[in-house]
Amino acid sequence: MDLTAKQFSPQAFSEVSETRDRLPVQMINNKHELFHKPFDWELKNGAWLPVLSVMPFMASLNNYDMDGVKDCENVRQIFRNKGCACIPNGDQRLGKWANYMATVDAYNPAMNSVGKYWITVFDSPIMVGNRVKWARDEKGYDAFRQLLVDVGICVLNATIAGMVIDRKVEALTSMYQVPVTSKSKQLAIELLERDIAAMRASLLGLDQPVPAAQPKRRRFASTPATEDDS
Amino acid sequence: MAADTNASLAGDLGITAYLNLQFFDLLHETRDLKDVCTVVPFTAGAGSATQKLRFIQPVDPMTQPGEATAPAITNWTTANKTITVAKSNLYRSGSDLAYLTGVIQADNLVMSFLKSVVYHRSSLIAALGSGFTANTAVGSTGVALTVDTVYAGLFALRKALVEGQIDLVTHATGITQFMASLRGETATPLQIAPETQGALSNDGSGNIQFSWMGVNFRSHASVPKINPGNVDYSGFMSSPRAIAFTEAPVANFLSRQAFNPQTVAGETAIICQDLSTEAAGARSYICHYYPGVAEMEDARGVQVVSAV
Repeated sequence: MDLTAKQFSPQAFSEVSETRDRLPVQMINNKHELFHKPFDWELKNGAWLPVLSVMPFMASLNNYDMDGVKDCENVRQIFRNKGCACIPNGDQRLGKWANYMATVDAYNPAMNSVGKYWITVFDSPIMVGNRVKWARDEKGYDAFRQLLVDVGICVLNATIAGMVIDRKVEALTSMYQVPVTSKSKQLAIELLERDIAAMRASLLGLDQPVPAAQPKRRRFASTPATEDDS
Repeated sequence: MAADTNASLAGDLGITAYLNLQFFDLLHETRDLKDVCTVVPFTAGAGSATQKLRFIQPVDPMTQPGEATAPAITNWTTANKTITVAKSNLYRSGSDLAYLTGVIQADNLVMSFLKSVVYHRSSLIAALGSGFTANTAVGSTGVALTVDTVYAGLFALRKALVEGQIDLVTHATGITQFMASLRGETATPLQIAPETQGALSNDGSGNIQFSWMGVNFRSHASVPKINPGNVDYSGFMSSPRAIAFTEAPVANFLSRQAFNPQTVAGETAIICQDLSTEAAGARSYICHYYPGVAEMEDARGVQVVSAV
């Protein structure tokens, strides 16, 4: 090649770090969504709100990956069979929160692995230095939980609430038998007592269960006795 | 130019250094949760990655139909669950130069498969904690794991008719919280119990870190965080029949294929394949593993919530 002159253009130098824009986490979590166990409720600001749990979607776990086809319904069906309410990400009943699950790019320094970290749209982790401060839109999350009740995904009535209270009373009764030897025990008892009292007070505002129909009394028609009866 | 290796071995192998014979493991999770489960043999070659687990209720009320009267047939109360195996992989590669200059790297790479397999299957098992629903979760959000929480879980399982071995799986943080709670117990019977001494003086090693009052305490780094702000760990207490575990055995498969598998002591379910890449002057190892985990009986487990 006859090269007598060649002009080189300067290229802006930037040192790109793959992990710099990623959230440092202890463990890359898995795809998941939320579900509700029938008796997991809390009373917050006078409202009964469902306490939500995590339903993981991992190959090898709960039939999620069946013969190479990943299907969330396989997992949801297990939980539905146990009386739980599934909250599929993408359920249009959830309105603006239909897609309530989200991801952020993350890395795990201990294993030098990168991936997507699954969170809800209500979470907003902030990295300060190399540590993560988790912030949550509590008002938004509570409104989301209220919506679950309003649209009928999570069902609450006085019967269920009564059973929730019964379970707390059982725990409290057990705690009463234990000598209170530490501040944490005292606080746990006080917390339970407060919870139970507040929940009982709010029971009146809930739909009452429909009483079971009473069986009709069986009537026996009398017939005049005759000599043969003896 | 300094001697280089493939990407996955770049940098830290110290090829340019003289002494390259020994690898030191960085801190990592070593515990295996497999023993928490009932291990179900996987039927290989049966045409499906999914197996049915069948259950019956052995106790039924006896009938009392009266003299000279035929009893009605009492049908079995049955239930079934399914468990599916799926593939997981780990692929490692190193240059010939890396192996030439350090004689034990290949062994290290293969043995790391075993450790990774143990971690992986344990993380599958640990993920099941939040799924137990029949028994109300014990512990509270933002509250450390205490002696009372463990007793609450124990009572819940015993009331559900669970007998025998009970395992508690939580994060290492939960174990230390429990130990702190145990230190604070002033009730004399607890303090003088040999198990309490054992719990407070455990050295943190072993799949079971210690047993206390009939409960095997186990920890795993993969126990998931839950609740707003990731403020809690979702552990669980269970009896072995709460969770089923299976892994597709590969022995029959290997005997029919022209693989050159490495064997790893005690593991019959991983394919560890040696892939020599002559042109590149590299040698690769790939591990295939086909585990399956599923809940067997919900009432045999209870979620344990504790603060991070």
